[in-house]
Amino acid sequence: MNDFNLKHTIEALLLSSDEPLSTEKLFKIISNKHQITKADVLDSINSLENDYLEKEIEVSRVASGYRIQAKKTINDYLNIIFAERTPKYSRALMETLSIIAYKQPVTRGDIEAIRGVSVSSSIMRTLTDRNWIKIIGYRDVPGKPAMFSTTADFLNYFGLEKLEELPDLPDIKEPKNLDLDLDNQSNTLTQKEGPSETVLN
Amino acid sequence: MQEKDHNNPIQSEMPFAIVDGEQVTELPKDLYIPPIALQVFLDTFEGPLDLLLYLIRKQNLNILDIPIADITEQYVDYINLMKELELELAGEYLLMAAMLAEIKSRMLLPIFEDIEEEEDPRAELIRRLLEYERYRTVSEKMNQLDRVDRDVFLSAIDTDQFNQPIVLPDIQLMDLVMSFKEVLKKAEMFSTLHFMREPLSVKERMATILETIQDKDFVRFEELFDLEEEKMGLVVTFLAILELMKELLIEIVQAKEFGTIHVKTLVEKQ
Repeated sequence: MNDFNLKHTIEALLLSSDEPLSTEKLFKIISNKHQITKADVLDSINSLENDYLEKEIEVSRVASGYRIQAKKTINDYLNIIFAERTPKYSRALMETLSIIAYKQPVTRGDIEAIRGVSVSSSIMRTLTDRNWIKIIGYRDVPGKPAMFSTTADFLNYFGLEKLEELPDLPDIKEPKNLDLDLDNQSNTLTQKEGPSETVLN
Repeated sequence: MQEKDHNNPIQSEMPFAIVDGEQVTELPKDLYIPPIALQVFLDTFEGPLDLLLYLIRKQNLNILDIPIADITEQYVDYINLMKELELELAGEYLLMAAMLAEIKSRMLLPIFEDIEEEEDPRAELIRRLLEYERYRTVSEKMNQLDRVDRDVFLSAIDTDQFNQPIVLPDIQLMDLVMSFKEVLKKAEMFSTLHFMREPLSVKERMATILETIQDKDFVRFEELFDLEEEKMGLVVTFLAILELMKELLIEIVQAKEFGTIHVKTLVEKQ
């Protein structure tokens, strides 16, 4: 076993695994047979990252650990190969998902209150099937509605390590001066909302 | 809806098309537009809040001071258009129309200065619009995040093909014999046990007894029993004796108390 090479072993494991592997997991798998430390694992991963500098693949760190992915520089080609595989998600689904991600844990009622429409069961099923959301409990109110939150798979899918890396939720511009302006019942408030890029065309 | 009037376009009406510079707010009666085509446009609204935001933003209105009468009118126009196209109209749209109408009428009521807590009738709607807009905006940002299979492509060696070779263990002859023995043992457990009665007939025994005592005057009671027979045989013999007595073919005689019991035939000797 003298020809055991930790870096190459980790590389092969990351390449073969269906899901990202954490340092703990890599350590657990390999230390079964070989005397290594977690620091060795980290060193090897760093070394791999260096090796890949001149290649078109890279080691990426997401919520569940490390994975090897193609660099974006070759996306133009990959998009051709995987043209049919690219899933498209509706606005309704993305809105539902973002409410769950930013306000978790939330119930269906919470989502409906924000979106103003009833939550589509098929959207909830899609999100659950993709293992992006899960029920983490039941709110202690009449009806005991299920509370949903996002999962590590959700972060993995969006290439994030933690929820804090999500784009900032825009601040609500107002309520303090809201009453004031409304009391005046005038149109003096000229605060421009800016050209609304959110407008549908 | 009214006839088109180019000189006096109705402000509140939302034109859904412009043909030769003319705003078209009414579907030409003689033109058939497949509802599906318009549905594409109308379907892009994710509910009444979305539609309201669209109306407000499109006209660069101040969301904090919505001209509720105008917006209500435009909103209802859209609803009517959807109805006209016989699109499925979610109940939420109608609920919002009712809510707008309510706000509109409450705006007309005089404001009582002494009621401190009285809120602007639009406040709740504005709060909801702003809250919804936050998430709508952020969901668009989220949509731009790198996504697996769209922006990020994972390496995936198809490990399914590398099935582990199945290592077959060597089998010794003794192991084979041993397991065959096991099989036999198990088979034995499944074999049925057959119990057979010794064919014993009281009638037949009666005949035998008669024959035995035929030639003799007396036979000692015990002599009639074959002690090598099992209990069942002895019982049958006893039953046969009782039967013979009942049919008055034999007689049981005891000379004295505790003396030997003799059996005597009653059948006349030929």
